[in-house]
Amino acid sequence: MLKVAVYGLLVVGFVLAAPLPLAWGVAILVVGLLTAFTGALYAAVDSDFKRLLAYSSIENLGIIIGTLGLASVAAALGAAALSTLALVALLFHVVSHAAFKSLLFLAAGTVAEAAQTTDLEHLGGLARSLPFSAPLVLVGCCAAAALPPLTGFASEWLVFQSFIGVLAIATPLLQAVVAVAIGVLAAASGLAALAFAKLFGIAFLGEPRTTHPAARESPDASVVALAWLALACIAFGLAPAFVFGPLRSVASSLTGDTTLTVATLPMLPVTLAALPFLGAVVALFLGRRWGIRFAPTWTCGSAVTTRSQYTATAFSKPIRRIFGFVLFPERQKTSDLGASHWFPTRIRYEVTTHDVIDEGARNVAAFVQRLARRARILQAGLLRIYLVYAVVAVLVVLVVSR
Amino acid sequence: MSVAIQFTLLVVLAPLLQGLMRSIRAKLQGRPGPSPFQPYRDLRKLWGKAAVLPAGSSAIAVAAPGIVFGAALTFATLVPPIGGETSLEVNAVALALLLALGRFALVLAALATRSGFAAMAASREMTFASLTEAPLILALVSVALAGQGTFARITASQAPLAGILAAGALLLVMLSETARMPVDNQETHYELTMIHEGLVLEYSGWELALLQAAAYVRQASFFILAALMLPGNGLSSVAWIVVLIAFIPLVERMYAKMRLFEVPQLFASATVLALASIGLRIAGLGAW
Repeated sequence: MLKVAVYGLLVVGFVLAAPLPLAWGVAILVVGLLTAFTGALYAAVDSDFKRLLAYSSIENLGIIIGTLGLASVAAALGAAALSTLALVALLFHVVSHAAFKSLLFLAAGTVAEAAQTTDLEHLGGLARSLPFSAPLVLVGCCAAAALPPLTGFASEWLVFQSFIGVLAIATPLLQAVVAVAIGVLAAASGLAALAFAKLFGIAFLGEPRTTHPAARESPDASVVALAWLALACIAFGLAPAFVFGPLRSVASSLTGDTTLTVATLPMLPVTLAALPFLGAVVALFLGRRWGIRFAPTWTCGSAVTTRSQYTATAFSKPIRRIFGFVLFPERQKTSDLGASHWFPTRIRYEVTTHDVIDEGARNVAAFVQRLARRARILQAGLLRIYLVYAVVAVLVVLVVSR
Repeated sequence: MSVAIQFTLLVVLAPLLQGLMRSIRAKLQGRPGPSPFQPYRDLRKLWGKAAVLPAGSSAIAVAAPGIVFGAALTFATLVPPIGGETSLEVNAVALALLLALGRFALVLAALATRSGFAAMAASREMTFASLTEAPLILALVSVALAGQGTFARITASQAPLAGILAAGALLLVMLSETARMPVDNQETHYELTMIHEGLVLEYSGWELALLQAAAYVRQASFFILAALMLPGNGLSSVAWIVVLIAFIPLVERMYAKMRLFEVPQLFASATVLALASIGLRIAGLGAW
């Protein structure tokens, strides 16, 4: 559903109103990348499985729309090949995002059913109770963090490639915009990696953070649904050429340029991931061969309990503090004091952040509504007043046109 | 061919690089310090030891050091050869995401330990990594831009000043990536101040040997990348590496560890340096 807007923008920008003026392309680019960055930032600090995924969707849509802006900038500059590259990149990212985000949202359903909550602060250790879904979710998380060789990597690499391409040919002022855009994209991808490391690490690893551990899952249809999407994440990553080919013909039909080839793309994910994969296999083999001794975790001598684990809120605290100037974190601490004045029986921390963009949008919406309510006076429903309006309008037109 | 020779040299000499810097730093601090070959001995000792992992850790924790080592080796193969006429395509984004792959595996392994220390280090490592992604990619893009849009070769000599700025950005990123002062302290044994060391706190034996070897290889690759960005080519790049070997311990000697929340300012400076480098190239001040 999110991608319908992308389709609409593509049709308007490259078919109906083509070519878009340069300034429009730049405006779309800036809005897209701001969206990507804020989406990634909110995903990084959020502690709810589903809300985190939703913020990450905002991030990915921002990347897609930003690349769309770039494509129209490239077209306006007369670089048809680069425009095609950017269009292929954004379409590829649409495909990637469809694969990994559907997988993760379905997984959110599995988690909600198994653990009765999607709050990361109450999850943990799901890898043990969901032994079939967990590896598939890991694939989805790695794809969302744009790690090679998965589909998110291939599409994000293409997005970066198109930005770097435009950086080389644009006018100086535009080059400056694109250079900053590359930095913003890079920061967004770093924050997304943090968000998904947190999502998988907190929810699936360690121990459950509540006293009601999730029931062990059985391999049923929901696992199959996750499995084929995970397979898509791997296949689109390992063999990007299969996606690239059809998308290129779509993009070429929009820009009229058919010369685009990206020679390094087909082999890149495999080249990058071959040795790490081999390393993982060798380490697992050596672990089996030489044996690994297991000992209690070191926590300076204190006992390891489920409460000694890090929480999702703690994990994202540095980001919340560093980006405090947009997130406005607020901390509330309340302690229940029992009989003793010095030893509280219960301490409660609450951390909230403000979504400035959401609040801004709400404020604008509220303002428009207020304005509309005021303007309702004009619509009195009386014929004579409408006649007065008509006369005034005619007079104004006459005066202006004279 | 030169790629293969450089890769072999890089992997073989990477521990020596670390050993040299460690002994130079010790001399600067007025200590006798270990021999420059100590890292080789450490690796051999660790490789011969059995690994102990926290109870209940998953297959990810066992596999993570292998992933990190594989990623470091791949990183080393992607570094363009010194003095090469037509070097490999510098793939800024591929390099950055490759580093992210190894880090992701380690962070997941740390979160699986149920220990607050490892997870805290994981949180800090990921935070710093997300902040260094922009300067790292921008610095590499700046170099690619020097190839007049072909991105096919590093020609740092075309714009010495822009190259120096990009190398500066890369070195600041490297301080974080290799856990050096003023971002981190390689020699701390206090859990609360550890960042990178905290992440690998639960590793031991041959698993730790893999992680350390990977760190040495990554560090050596960063040195070569920085040397390639600095003015000159061929022998002068080698000379730059020698200069850096002396310079980095000096930086470590001069600065105390920064407070955690002051470090982002360092990365902001790195981003500004990288953007300034791109700006110089855009402005056509290549002759500088």
